[in-house]
Amino acid sequence: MERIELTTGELLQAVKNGESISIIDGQWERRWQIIAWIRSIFGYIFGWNDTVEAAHNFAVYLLENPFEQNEKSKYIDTYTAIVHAFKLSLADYAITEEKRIRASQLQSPRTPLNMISSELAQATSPRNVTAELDQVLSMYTYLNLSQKTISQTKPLQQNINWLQEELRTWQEEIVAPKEDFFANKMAQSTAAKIKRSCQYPQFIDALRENRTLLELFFYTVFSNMPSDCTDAVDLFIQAPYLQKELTRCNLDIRIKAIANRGLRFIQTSDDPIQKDVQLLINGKYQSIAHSQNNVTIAHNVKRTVKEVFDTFEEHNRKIADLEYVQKGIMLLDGTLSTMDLSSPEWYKDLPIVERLTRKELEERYETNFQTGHALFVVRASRP
Amino acid sequence: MRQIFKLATPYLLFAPRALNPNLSARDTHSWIEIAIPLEDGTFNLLSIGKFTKVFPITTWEQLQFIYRTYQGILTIVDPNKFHHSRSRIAVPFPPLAKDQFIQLMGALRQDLLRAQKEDFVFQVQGDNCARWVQKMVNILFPNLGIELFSMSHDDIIIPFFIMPFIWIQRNIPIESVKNAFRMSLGLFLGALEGQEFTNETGEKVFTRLYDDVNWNKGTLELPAKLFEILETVKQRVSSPFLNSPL
Repeated sequence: MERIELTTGELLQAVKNGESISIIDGQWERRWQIIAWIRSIFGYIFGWNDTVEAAHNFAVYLLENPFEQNEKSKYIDTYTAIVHAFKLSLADYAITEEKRIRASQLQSPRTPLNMISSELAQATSPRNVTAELDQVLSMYTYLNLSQKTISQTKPLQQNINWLQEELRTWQEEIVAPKEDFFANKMAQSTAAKIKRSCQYPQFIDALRENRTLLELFFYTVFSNMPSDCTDAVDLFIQAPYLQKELTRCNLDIRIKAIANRGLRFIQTSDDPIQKDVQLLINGKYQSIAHSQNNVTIAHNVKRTVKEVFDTFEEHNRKIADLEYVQKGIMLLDGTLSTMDLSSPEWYKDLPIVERLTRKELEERYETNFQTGHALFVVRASRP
Repeated sequence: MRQIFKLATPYLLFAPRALNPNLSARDTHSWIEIAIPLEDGTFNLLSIGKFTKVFPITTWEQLQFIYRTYQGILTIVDPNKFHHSRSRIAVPFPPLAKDQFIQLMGALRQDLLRAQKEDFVFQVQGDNCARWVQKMVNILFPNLGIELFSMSHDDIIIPFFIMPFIWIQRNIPIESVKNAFRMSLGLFLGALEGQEFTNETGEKVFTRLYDDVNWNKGTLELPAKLFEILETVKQRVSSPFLNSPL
């Protein structure tokens, strides 16, 4: 056992390497490899983890023993680095749902780890990546600018070239290795989105400085959103919190897959300037900007926007009763338990999941469809 | 006994077979897509897949999931349709004739009705999503005789700590010993546990993995197998699915 204060450098290295360590009362040690191995096997079943424990104990120790003014400058950088390393390994740890809940509990603002993290952040410059991103995005006041003014901004050619080049390298690294049947469709028609992004010059400046923000932008706007939807750019820059919600509940990939222009970002009034984010729900565009607002899902069925998002998140756990189809979000349980299947032509009453023309079908499946009546396709997926 | 040991030892110690990491059982799924003609000339594209009612999330749930029997459901909007971060493939079959289509819809209706009455079996190693897809292919093209997903137990990768046992199982050289080992592992992890389901003739049948024909033969249907089959076909034929299946 060694005192934390005396061996901060070694501790930092151990946490960074992901070694199994135990921290008790300001002292720490490496576990024997064989014990770490046995603990990891049982921890895998019962959901406990050495890193979680060590991070918690480390934070509690720092909270209970606030350092004095002269010590502060001596240790603060290493401590901040250790907390950051702990947070990174916690993010790796949160693979399954149960662990994610535990890890998020550890990362909620009131837990020791976060309290010490914010305390350290006050003393030094902020290092939390997501907080940094929020800060970057909230800097701009594009929400007070009318959509017309933004559309009339002339994009700089050098910005367009730079963004195109970055997007191309990103796609080659991230997207191309995946052997997806429809992957090549993503490469099409990014020009409109690039042009739209360059109409926010300050945002492009931030992208040039911040690599993490750039990758997040590509991932959410160019990979997860429909290729012709320039409103996705507006949404990401002007209402990042809502974009986060859509990504959390996997609605963005649904909007992408069903090409029905389900999402739009519009200006509702000129004086004062008010904007709205609308989603196709039960055949009508309805506002999703405020989480407590009600939306009409079916005749006489209303839910709040937050409930709708939460239901879509449930799809990770079961087949939930809401789904995104051609008419937008609809009340649709998969097994059609409310539908009458007794008539021989029952399939004519099915809700339209995705409406495609014959030509689109032929293009999508690379098949010849001259003689047939209906098409039957076998699909398979793997990670 | 000594002879068996003599035979088995070199295999157990030195002869692990090279496994294809792409044939992992985790997060792999198979479903069908049907384009139904509408009156205005367009098509309604359904994607129908077989699932359990609740998906296993924690490690303990997933471990139980491998050998037990659950109630299955069908959904007409398969969520895998949306997950573009996964690798996905499509094998379009020749366009259906009118009577083929009606036959398919009849079979689908029966399964939907059974799913509504909670009489639909789901077993990961037995009656799984891939076997249901294979069943639909067999109904449509009975003379094709193509196995899209079938593979031996020996080639599968299960990402759990029972993998060492599976490794021992596949390296036992004598077939009968190997089968006995697989059975005992299955019995230990819940292959005997089952539920009562009503079959096509209206009888109540106690269904469990232990009675499954393919499982007893040492084979199962793995969705990821289709990727491998398609790759070999692609090497053989330049354009694999023009006018003919595979």
